Amino acid sequence: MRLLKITDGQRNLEKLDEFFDSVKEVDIGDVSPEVSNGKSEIMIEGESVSEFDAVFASIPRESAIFGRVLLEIIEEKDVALNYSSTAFFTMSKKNYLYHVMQEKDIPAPKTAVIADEKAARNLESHVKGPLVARKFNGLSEVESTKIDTVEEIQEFAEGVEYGDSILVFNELRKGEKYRCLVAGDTVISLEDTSDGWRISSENLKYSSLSSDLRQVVEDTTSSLGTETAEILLRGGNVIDINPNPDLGLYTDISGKDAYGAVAEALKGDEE
Amino acid sequence: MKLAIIYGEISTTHQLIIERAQDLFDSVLAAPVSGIKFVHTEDGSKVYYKGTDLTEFDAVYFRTGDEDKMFSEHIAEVMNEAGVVTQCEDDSFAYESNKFYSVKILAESGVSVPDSFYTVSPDTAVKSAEKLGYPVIMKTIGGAGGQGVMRASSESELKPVMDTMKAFEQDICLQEYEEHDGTDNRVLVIGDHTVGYKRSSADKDEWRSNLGSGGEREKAELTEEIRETALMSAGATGFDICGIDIIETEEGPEVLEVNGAPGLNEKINEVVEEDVILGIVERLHERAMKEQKED
Repeated sequence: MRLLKITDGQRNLEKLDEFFDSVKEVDIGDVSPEVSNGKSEIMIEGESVSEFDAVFASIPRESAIFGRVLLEIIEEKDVALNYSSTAFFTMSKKNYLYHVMQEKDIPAPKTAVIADEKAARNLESHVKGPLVARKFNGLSEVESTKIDTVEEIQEFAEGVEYGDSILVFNELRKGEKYRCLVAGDTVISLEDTSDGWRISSENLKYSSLSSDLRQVVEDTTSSLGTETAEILLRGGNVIDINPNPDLGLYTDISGKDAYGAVAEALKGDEE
Repeated sequence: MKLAIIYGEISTTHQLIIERAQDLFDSVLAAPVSGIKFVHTEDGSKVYYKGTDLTEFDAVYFRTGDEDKMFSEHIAEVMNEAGVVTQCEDDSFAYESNKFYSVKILAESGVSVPDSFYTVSPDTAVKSAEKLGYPVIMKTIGGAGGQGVMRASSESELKPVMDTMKAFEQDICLQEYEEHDGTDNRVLVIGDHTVGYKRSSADKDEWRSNLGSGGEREKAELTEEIRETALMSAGATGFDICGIDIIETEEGPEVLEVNGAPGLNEKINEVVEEDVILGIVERLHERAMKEQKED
């Protein structure tokens, strides 16, 4: 089986290679979707992407718009992908993600999204504190904090002019915190035992999910249409979804082979 | 019946729309997209402006620009899901706001478009330009109205521009340059009605005809081929109301761009000899009435 890896070079994904007969890796900047003579195509060093059996894409969220188009063309070539175009875009664009989760009946926090200081007025009539407030410049998260009072909402939004940033306010439900890797039928879950509302890379331990939470995680990836994703849970809610999980972290902490799980998910029925 | 106009930049166009709409709709609200709150709950998504739930309106006409899409691209999806009449389908503005994406979608529907490459890297752009052959057209993915569109006749012209684009984190759409007479047709599509005008640059050496300033307009007698191309383009991108920019090449009509919120003013009405703005409002009203009856 031939694997193509499209990455930004920020992650070590060499351990995926041993599961495939041959592997080619290209930087996302070297890939250029094209429309020639009315046909969509992606050429990789002179050959069509359709010549590969599977593509593992690790596209930064900041390239969500480019990635959406790139992945759509790969999908149209019937090449197996670790995430679909729509799923990648949804996971990357946080002000869209919460709309999709609600539409698909994924348990998610009540969320308000604004893009200007003025729109923060009376926000408290739509979402109740405590809140997790997050600021995005473009698609990059640049700030997050916990908010308890109406005054703090205004303070967080202060100075934000339309076009600068997008502010996302999630209602905060406390409870057990998990980071979960989903790869096909495999779920590797790490519990964050730290105090506080943040889910971090510290204080993680391998811990199985309850059957209810496992169902939530599986339903989430299934309804988004992605083979792999990292799902963050807090208090039974899906609070975020990351398209590019750190496979090394899951392997190291759980002792499970996250790379193997992703490879198997990519191979799917081909094997 | 209630109509909301959700707009990006302030424009006198909105006042013209409101004036026409007030004769047909019981109430008309103009809401700047900057004042919008999206609220997503288990009961569904809502769009609020100053406490008013816009998903309760009968029709919404979006007058947003490419610069608004990061925040408001999915507003159409929320409205459509709520049963509000809009001028588009869920993904229409995603296609429209991305020069390459719209070309891809149009090509898949059999609409003739220029060969195009989508790139985020200057080095890859140079390779793509060699495949296209110089001169090439460089467009920022999200530009509109001729802004962010340049022509390069050689690598030495292309590379510095691409480096600058990269510095400003701009994705680029490279396209083949199609020889034409320096004019294009802006075809306004309203349902299955089409009307158009030709645009040409005031500067004889200017190859762009769709510059926001300057240029001349005259009514276009649309051929059946151009009309069909415009309707196919609107259908492919899911717009019920839009503007389609079409050039005439030796091989036939070729689409350069789709615009979900085309320029509208009294001058255009004079050129095309009909009230296009009224036509748009009537179309929204007609569809909202139909929707109400079906409910």
